[in-house]
Amino acid sequence: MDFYFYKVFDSFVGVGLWGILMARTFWATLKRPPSWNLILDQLYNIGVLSLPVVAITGFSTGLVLAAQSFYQLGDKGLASATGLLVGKSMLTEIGPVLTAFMVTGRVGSSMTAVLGTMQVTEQVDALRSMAVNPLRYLVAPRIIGCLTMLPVLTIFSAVVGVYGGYLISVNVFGMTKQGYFDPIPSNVTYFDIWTGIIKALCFGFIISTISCYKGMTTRGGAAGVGKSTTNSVVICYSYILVINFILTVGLNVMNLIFIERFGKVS
Amino acid sequence: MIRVKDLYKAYGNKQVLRGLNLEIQTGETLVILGRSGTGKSVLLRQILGIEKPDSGEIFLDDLCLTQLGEHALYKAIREMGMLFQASALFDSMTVGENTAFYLREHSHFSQATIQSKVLEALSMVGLEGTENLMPSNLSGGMRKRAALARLIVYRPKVLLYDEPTTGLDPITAMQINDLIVKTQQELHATSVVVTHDICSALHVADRIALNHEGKIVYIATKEEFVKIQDPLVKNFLKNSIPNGDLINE
Repeated sequence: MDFYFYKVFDSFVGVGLWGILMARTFWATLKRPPSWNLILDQLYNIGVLSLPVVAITGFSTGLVLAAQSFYQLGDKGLASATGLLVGKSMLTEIGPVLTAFMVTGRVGSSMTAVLGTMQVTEQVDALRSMAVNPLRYLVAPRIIGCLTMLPVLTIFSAVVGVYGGYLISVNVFGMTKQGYFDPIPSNVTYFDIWTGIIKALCFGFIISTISCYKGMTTRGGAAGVGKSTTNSVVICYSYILVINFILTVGLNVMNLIFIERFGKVS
Repeated sequence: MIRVKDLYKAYGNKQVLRGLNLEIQTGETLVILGRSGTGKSVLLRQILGIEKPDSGEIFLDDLCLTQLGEHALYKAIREMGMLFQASALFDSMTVGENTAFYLREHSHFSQATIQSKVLEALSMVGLEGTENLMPSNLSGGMRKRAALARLIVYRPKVLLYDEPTTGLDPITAMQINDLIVKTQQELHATSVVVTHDICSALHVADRIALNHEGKIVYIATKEEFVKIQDPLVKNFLKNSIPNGDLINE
């Protein structure tokens, strides 16, 4: 019983320390923003270098979604909704979540491992000894990079997914180009696009802050780095799934309230 | 001058510093000796503000470092630097980039000036031609020297050395000792060297302090230090160099 109590207590302490680290990073960034070179490095690393893996994931998901939709909906006379289903799913649910998962695996784990190694080999202390705030130099550019590139990657993943669905629908299932694309513009709303972008921003924040926090609090040599990296990936995946559910429900409720008050915008 | 007053620091249940008091005069090289785990490296980390003490104060001239906020502390320690035990070179940068790091962060020198200062610092530690190598391509002694180049390139007024000769062969260790003395003569800086290497201590020190159980129990010039008859000091010296005539060395 004590074991579980201490585990829960540790989790709350962890959340508190994570909050303090983020507040200090925010404050340090306000006082003196990180240089453009550091931010550009992260934008390139997080955004450009993640394009292939996000493209492969988005494309294959688009193919699978289109195939499933066609087989499941075809016999009910709803095959024409294939493009719409792929577009909506890729934009609001599967695109943001899968992109976040891919970025967690490729970028988040690397952030924790790099910062963790720098921590245990005193490189972070060396930065401090040269009067360079490691939160501004190491953490802030990574958070800015993730917040900027996650929405871009999510939209990219959705576009590639829709294109993948189009290829299989037209070339294998015999749909027409118009049959696939026409329902999309009239049914995909600004709300859907904003849902995807807001989710991507939240996931970007989760991935970068948790990965950096785990890296900066690593102790205990190589074993500690391994443990921190595993923990950060597992925590990021869990938070992404939970936050995704909360956002899906929350944003839809807000959308309904908005429509009730002001009428449909799209 | 650096003044440390009643410094306490504990990690969990382990009390490391127990009311440590120390004064380091401007321009001198003070060596702090002591057994492992007595808080020598911890003291350096407190002086530099890497860690906060549980209680006590550290003054740099008249400025109380322990009472400064984060931003003010980073400003205050710009004229200090530390050589880490494991060198702590940034392994994603070349030796040249490591050496140029401080100047790129804090100075307005042109690229050409920075480059020439980097080459000068590397040549001072005998590492000419290594500016494009990665730290992983260097031996232990070369890494120490590269870390020293990264330190002396910005000519700090206070230099902190954490076990500068640990893990090195005697010849490389002696080279590092010579470099510490040479750096001291060139920069006229205040230096604090933490070590349990008596040879190194006697080579570089103006004064030697003995840290025992988190307190400075003796502090004296190196000539006086080796004559101290207290069993604590005698034991420490005897077990470091069993047959040595220390001061004559």
